[in-house]
Amino acid sequence: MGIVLLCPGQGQVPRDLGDLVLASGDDLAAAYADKLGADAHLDPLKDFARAQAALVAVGIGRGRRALELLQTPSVRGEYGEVLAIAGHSLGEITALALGGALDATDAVRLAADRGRAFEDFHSPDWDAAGMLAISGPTVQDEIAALLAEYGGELANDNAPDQVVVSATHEQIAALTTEARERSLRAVRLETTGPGHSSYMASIVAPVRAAVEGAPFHAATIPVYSGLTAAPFIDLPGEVSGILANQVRWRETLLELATLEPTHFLDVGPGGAMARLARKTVPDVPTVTLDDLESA
Amino acid sequence: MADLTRELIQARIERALAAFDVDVETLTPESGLEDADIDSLDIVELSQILEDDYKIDIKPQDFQGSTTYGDALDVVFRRAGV
Repeated sequence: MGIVLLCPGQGQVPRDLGDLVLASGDDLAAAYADKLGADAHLDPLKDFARAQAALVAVGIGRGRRALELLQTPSVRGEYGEVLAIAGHSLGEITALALGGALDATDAVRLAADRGRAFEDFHSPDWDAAGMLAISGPTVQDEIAALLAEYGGELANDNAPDQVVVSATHEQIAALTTEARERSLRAVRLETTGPGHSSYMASIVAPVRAAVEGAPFHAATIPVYSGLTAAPFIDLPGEVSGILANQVRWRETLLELATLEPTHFLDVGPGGAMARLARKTVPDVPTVTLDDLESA
Repeated sequence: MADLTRELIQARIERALAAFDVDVETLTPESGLEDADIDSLDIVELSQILEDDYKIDIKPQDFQGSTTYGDALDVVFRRAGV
């Protein structure tokens, strides 16, 4: 018996993010203010550095509470030990902190550096491109042919029925039309740019330098990388490399399932990780922090 | 493009909703959006479909305050000017 923790990325941004930062823990709120300014929590979506640091601070705050609860006899009795942790995209930094590989305050600072790289090394190509979520029961069978015909790169392999593509606006328009012709669903995403694709090559080196400057430790809980769908080995290479490469989330979940967890915990906020887990590994039930609180 | 009419728009919306696995056969103007399993992601996609197919300038936030299917249709018709 055991549980696997899943940490979301930027897919779902809570409206009360600033308040959540302040509630995430004194050390996290202090690290956030230290790096970004005391007022940064008032408007955490003002820039990428604030937003990414805020999401990681909130994720770590919630994850730490989950780990604390999982140490209590009643919760541990119901859910068992923590087998592994994984995070989706930005959520990897949250996961590394929860797994003990990175101090929480260093994780918040690293997330801010990662976010700042999106501004400092912004490429003009990004303005002509974006991301498109394509979903439907046949999407895994059809996506290779769609990309071969219309262009674009697979950015997120999220679930058996959902992928996200990075492409130019023209390619996205053509992919949208063709996907709907094929009875697939297609939704353009509001994003910082065409993430997890070769468009992001300009930020890999600066983010790698930031990761190399962060004091890492040996993880106490295995943390899985979305770049390799396996436990992290090369932290600077993998944390920076995934920016310009596909998030192999579906495969990561399938690997995590081989640990035979009895539950997946969506650290939250939001329920996106639970939804993707249920689609990919339907036999393993998902729980939230609220479920742990009431156990 | 054919002249936009309420019937044309509603038919496109219901074709999209059917693709979202919404039971359009039982949908009435009084149906609650939540009861009909129409969520915020569906609204985002529907907005993009109406923009793509009919150049209707509509954003998901335009549906704030819409609780029934009829409310949502009224928003679309108003934005489409029909």
